[in-house]
Amino acid sequence: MVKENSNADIQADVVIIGAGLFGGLMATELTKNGLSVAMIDSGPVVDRVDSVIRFKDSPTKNGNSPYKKEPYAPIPEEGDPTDYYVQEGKGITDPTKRVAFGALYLRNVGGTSWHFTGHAERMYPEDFKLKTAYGRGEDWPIDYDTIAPYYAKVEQAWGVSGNDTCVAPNPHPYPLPYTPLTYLDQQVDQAAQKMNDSIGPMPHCRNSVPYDGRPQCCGNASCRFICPVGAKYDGSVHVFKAVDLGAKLYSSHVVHHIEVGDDQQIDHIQFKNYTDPANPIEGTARAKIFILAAHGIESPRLLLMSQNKNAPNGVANSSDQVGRNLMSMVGMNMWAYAPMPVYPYRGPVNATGAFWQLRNGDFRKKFASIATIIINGGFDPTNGPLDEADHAVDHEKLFGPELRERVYTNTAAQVYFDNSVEVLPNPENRITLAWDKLDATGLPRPKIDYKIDKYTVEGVYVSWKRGWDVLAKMGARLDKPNGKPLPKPTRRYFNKLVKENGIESGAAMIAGTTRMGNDPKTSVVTPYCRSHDHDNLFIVGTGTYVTSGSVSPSLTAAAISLRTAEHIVQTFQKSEG
Amino acid sequence: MIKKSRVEFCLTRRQIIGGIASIPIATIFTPTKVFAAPKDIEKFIYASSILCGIAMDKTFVELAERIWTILTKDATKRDMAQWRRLIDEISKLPPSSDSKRIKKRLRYMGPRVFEKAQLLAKVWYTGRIKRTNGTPKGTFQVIDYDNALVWLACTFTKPPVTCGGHFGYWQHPYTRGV
Repeated sequence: MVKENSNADIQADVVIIGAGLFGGLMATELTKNGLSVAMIDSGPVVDRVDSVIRFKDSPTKNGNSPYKKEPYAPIPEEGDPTDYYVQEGKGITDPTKRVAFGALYLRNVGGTSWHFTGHAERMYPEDFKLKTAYGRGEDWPIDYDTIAPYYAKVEQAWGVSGNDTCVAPNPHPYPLPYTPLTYLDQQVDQAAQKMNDSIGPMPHCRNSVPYDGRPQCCGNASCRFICPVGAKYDGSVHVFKAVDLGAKLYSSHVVHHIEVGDDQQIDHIQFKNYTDPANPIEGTARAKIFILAAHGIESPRLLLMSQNKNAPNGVANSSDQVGRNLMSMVGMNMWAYAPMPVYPYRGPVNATGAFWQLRNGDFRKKFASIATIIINGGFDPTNGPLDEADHAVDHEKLFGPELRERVYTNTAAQVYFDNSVEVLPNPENRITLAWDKLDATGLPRPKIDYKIDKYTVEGVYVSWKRGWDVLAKMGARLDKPNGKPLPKPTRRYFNKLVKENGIESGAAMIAGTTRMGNDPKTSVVTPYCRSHDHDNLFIVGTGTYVTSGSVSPSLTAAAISLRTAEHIVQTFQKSEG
Repeated sequence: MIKKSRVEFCLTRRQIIGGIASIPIATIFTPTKVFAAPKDIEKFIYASSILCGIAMDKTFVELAERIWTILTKDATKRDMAQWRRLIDEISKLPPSSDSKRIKKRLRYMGPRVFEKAQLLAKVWYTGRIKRTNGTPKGTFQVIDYDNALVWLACTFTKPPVTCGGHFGYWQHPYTRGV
């Protein structure tokens, strides 16, 4: 049974805004160490069974499909993120002027991790010192060695599977045995090796053996959307561990204001309790310490919305850096038909394998880091086989055994590469508030300005070319296993595609909007994620990133959050005597 | 030591259906709400099997009813006549009919019936139907995702959100053909 609270007013040692991947982990640590903790989340508790049913009934079956849409906690839609994001310049395809921003997140208990990939690799040491190592971007105020012990703790907490062959930096012991490559990965690997590259397994926070009361993964092939059995870790695991330890959870409570006192401390926060959506109740939460863990869009949105006489530029924003330096990886993906069956649609559906090369190295002086993964879910992890059937009937006019065979043959041959290319920090890439475009509760929607530089465009080109080259080495074809040859991946063809379609941001990462640093003039939080402006406010999550790299972002933010929790415990105990 | 693959020991819905398929069809159908006579259900499912190239049996009765209801909702008299003609004519074909033979029979019935045959095959294969009105127009209505025939055609996989077997099964090639 879910233990929840719906009091009008809340009081605790620590109030955490956002009961997601980082909020839950911190709540567990803080509660373990004797602090009273209240977690407040804008969205509801997720019922896994209801979510699976909702997913099955959805025609699109994308990342948001399993989750209940609440008008009081709006989110960007996968099909059209601009139904929530406000973004100008539609039609501009030059990516150095505008990139359509499509990064996704969820607002519910457990947060975006409900539909994250479950990849859990560490950042490379050079990711923390990009300027020093490669003369690009900026250095972080912390380094890999500082974070390494916390990486290990998070890997234990999440149950990360891996081994020394994993596509990840710094070989180290993983708590769980590795998640094997698919047969598809192995076929791609043979082609990649002809080009002096190779495919290796990813570290995953999905159980390769039963762990922490959760079952072993059995290849439901839906984990990018929802894991029906909980074998993939998600943030709700530690949210409810914290609840079991005594933390309070307030779901469907939308925080809309942070009040700063004359002493520049956070005095209280104001929320609306939508437990009964027809009759929302205004409430106040007070605490000695506040932690904002609402991810890379909602955290800066709340800070900017909370202008008051003691924070006229928004909370934690004396530097004017809140909302700036938004980073989300971009890329151009590619897909084709292998000449033989490679059997996609089996195993962890997003990816088990990734290309080893172009993730880190001296090439980063010239172009951005690239993470290319092999999608196990073919052209569309949920509707791909259905689309093959429609095509075979509509365009090839097949019936009978030929229809059945065509659906099998084409679906079994689908190969899809997903390219994620690093984006460097740029203060002009930012989230601001669209006061003229309000959500259903009357709050301003996030306005996004986003573009990339030539360094990233070059990375997109290199990743695109490599993808086509590997597909060509496989003998892949454009329209069916024995169909038309692939186009030559020339620079001219790439430029033509960019001119016609632009470059889109991926769905996976939102970082940089509350960046960390030592200088209060150029950053929002300290290396311990404490606001430079307000001593009793901590802001955690991927928003604290100085640069993003191209690895999956969650593990690093979790490690930083755990370090922050430890710091809070130490300083709290000192201040309490 | 067991040398056979997992597939050898896995009793799937497909295999159960394969077993049932050997039962004489007339003995297993009974009247339902949608189809007045057993022979109507029999004809509809048999014609669907021919169009789709996948043998279907009594386990598909409930889905057949739903599909027929959706396809014929708001149908005009002319449409209904075409639907009935399609089912009547296709059900006269032998079970082994190939695409060429099916198309020959469909062309004889005209383009409107051909389109209906395409629609019927797509709905069975995908378990969804394109919305023609209402909101959002152009998107799909899901009828039955898990029992869409694509999952029987693609024997190497199964509908997502369904357990695939033991951990790591995906590293091995699929060992049975279509």
